[in-house]
Amino acid sequence: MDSRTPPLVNLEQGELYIGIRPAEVRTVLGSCVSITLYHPRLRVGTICHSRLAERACDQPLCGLKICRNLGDYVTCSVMFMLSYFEHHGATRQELVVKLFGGANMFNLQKNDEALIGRRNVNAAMALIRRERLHLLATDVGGGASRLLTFHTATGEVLLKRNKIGLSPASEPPSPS
Amino acid sequence: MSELNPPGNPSAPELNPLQQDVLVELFNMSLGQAVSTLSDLVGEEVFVSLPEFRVVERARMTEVIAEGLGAGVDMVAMPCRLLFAGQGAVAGLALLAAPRESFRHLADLLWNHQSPPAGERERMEQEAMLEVGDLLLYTCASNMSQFLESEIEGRAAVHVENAASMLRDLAPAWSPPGEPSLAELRVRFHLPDRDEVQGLMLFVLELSALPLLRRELNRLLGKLGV
Repeated sequence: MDSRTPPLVNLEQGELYIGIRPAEVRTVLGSCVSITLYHPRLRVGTICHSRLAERACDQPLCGLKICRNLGDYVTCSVMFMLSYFEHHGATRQELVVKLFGGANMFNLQKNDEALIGRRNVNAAMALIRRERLHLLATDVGGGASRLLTFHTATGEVLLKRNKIGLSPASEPPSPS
Repeated sequence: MSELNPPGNPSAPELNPLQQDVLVELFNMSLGQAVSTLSDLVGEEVFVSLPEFRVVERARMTEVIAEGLGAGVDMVAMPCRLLFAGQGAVAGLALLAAPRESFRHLADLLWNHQSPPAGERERMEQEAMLEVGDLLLYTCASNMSQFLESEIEGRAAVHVENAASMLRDLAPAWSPPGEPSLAELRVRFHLPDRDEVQGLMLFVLELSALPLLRRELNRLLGKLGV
């Protein structure tokens, strides 16, 4: 393996990754959402794969607390990732934020996936707004699942849409 | 005539041609991301015009927005501010405006031509347009804010019931009638394969904020070595 090639990390549902060292993080999204945060000066990127919007918490996130199932929740994941950057002296407005996922959020069939997708995207938007983050790109909704590849050292995101069923698409991935 | 306001040019007196060019280009780039989002959401190509910049008298703004869109225009608006540390803030209104029929067709594309339950169409259309408007307008304003190295404060997008009232809140109360008080950046968009879908995306700023904006544009130009 070329020593310059960053290691490949597969991100599962409920997980998040902080790119202290360069890595290529891949994840597949349906109604779940991924939010990437990238800091150009630190050259560090973080990404989450969250399947639920938010939960009530009687112990608000402080310091670097990691509670059970933190990664499952959009709000918890993003706050945790933000705390990493704050700990390293980064300001909110320096962060490049991108939002992906929420498949079927506009599907009129009121099945679980449609409702979950919409709630996840809406929760992400509410949090992004509340924390005054710069949302520079989004790719949400639609009926396809998404294969995301996030390069933590550059912030680049490559996205490939699949038909529902998660089989690889023939179209080349497009940068976002 | 001042070189800042050449004859026949409706430019704001506070921005020189280079500053205006930079502002328009920043808007153009910011809009690119928002339009890309719209295109992905509806699954079709979206064409946009070149951005225009102009100053407008507050009282005429509603009429100006609707210009060329015909009757029955709906709007989604997102009030926002760009905060420059220690310098102040630029208050603005990001707007998505389209004929009602255009929003109807956009909703059909979002829903992939599924039909909403009887009696719920109008409510669900408004809901869908609010969500889409929120995504597009916040993305556009975020990109502008990032280019200008400011902090963004954006409120949730709302369906505009009374455009005149929202614009009145934006423009200074003391602005004399007949005097320009708002600056506007706008693009027209349409779907090339669907003539019935067209609209505008606008960023409206209070004119009194232009001196601050001018300083920030000069700072940006300085960093670029211009």
